[in-house]
Amino acid sequence: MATRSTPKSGSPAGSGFVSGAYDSGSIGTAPSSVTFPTLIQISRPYLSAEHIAILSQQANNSNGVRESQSRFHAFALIINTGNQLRFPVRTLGSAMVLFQQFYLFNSLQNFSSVSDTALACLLVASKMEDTLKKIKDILIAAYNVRHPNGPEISLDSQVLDEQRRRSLFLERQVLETMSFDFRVKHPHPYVIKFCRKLTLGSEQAQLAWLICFDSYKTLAPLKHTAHAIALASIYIAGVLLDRDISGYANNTADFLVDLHDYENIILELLELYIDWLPQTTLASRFPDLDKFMSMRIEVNKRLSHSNGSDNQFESKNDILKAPKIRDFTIGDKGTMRYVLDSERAKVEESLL
Amino acid sequence: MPLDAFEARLAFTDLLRRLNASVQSATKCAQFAIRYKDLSEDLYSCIVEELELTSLNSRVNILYFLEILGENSIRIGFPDYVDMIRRDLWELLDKVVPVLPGALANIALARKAIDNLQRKTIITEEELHRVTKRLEEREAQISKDEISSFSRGDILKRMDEDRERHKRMRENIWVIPQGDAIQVEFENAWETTSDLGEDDYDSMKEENNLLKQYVLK
Repeated sequence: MATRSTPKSGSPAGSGFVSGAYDSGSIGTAPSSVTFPTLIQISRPYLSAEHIAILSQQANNSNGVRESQSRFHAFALIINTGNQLRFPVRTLGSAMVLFQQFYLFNSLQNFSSVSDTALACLLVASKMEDTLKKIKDILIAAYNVRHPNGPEISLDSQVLDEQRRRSLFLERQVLETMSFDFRVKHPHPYVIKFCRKLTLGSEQAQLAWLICFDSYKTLAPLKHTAHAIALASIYIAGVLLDRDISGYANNTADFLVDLHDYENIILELLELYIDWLPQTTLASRFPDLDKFMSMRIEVNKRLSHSNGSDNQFESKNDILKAPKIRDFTIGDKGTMRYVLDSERAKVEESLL
Repeated sequence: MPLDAFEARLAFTDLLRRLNASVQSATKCAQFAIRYKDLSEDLYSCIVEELELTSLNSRVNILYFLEILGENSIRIGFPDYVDMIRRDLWELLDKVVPVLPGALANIALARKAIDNLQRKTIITEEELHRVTKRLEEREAQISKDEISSFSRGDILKRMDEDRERHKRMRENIWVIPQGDAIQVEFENAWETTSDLGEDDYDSMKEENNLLKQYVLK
């Protein structure tokens, strides 16, 4: 998130807007005698590893085993609820990415009910991906998932109404965290297109499809493009099926994928499989960790030989300054505006 | 409150007459039919009668209602309504797209409706194919020359109902059909996704540029 505030004269100095607390954006105020502080939040559709490290430190949501388990619990809730509602993979995927993004920018302390947040993410995802479902339908499906043998919940239940209210509040928080930026790309269509182009056959494509689904449980979608993730998944699928991977492993540029990115995504995915195999779609088919571990050794070897620098984080312009944790009450103190990128903010400022 | 056959028929016909394109009205009808499923034959004959008597526009609403009725029947495991719908499928459609001026307006909707019936496993694929063929033949039969006389009110009502149906469709068209969800979706995508092309490369370039803005190398 990148925002800046400059309260105009007349507004209380101790208004709570701390100038410099956020990155620069630009300011706008209502053209009237009454001035009030306006903040602009600029969307960050992608984050670098360094950004993520900075945010994690601020949020103090430690990445310990307990937190990881609760995260996977949330993913399972999203997936099982979503399957009940017959959502396509892109909806489930978006929900999981939104969930991870949420707890990068918000602390667990302020939003301790991880399940509620997960369902709110599913709600937002269902709207984003044009697979609309009413809130109550989602909540009822979630209830059925959590109480498979339990009594059916009544449509008028007070518990449901209470949950619905909470979901609406959380939905808003999720939307603000993502800066209302609905530009999302998914790797799955690219898996099909690339596999067809390389004539790799449907078996490898299907395995890569599953791996892409697992990729949503990592931070890869926040750090890399969808087509890069697709290619990396195809590679892992190829190795697991003992296929010839030479067709693309050395020509990632043909698919507009940076080789270094590609290798890093492979590592990220392998880490998921090595550390959390039972939580993935490959657990039953590839229960043995050896293949994943030897893949990891290979990739690390390749990376250490290549010229790829361990990218030093350098900011060339404002937007790349370190992101900050959200103050979720800030909307109460003034007007928050959400802008897709700094270009637009600059254009607006010049018009005012 | 148990009703005798006569009262039930009256009440049900009344509900059928109030049917519009909304899910609520259809659900209300369906719930009544399920509640009095002991009288299923009587209630079903009301449906058939109403199809004969009511306007062309309203017949479409009844057709869409059958989908909700079928769905609910399957859910509670009550086969009678579904059996009767399958048995009389063409007879029912025949009334929705009769050889009358103005019926052409119903053809596209009828096609969608039977498609939905098959997707919800109310009718089989084979039945769908057979009846689709007959629909095509019927379409050719209906004269395109005669301009039908719909009142302005009818036209506006129909437009509203089409809008409502379209909204409903958007809520369901993405639903992954029965079976192992991920498998089914993959197979569908494998068949239908377009080949890698210019526009894909443009998209990928755009994404790469977007990434560059936020993640410096």
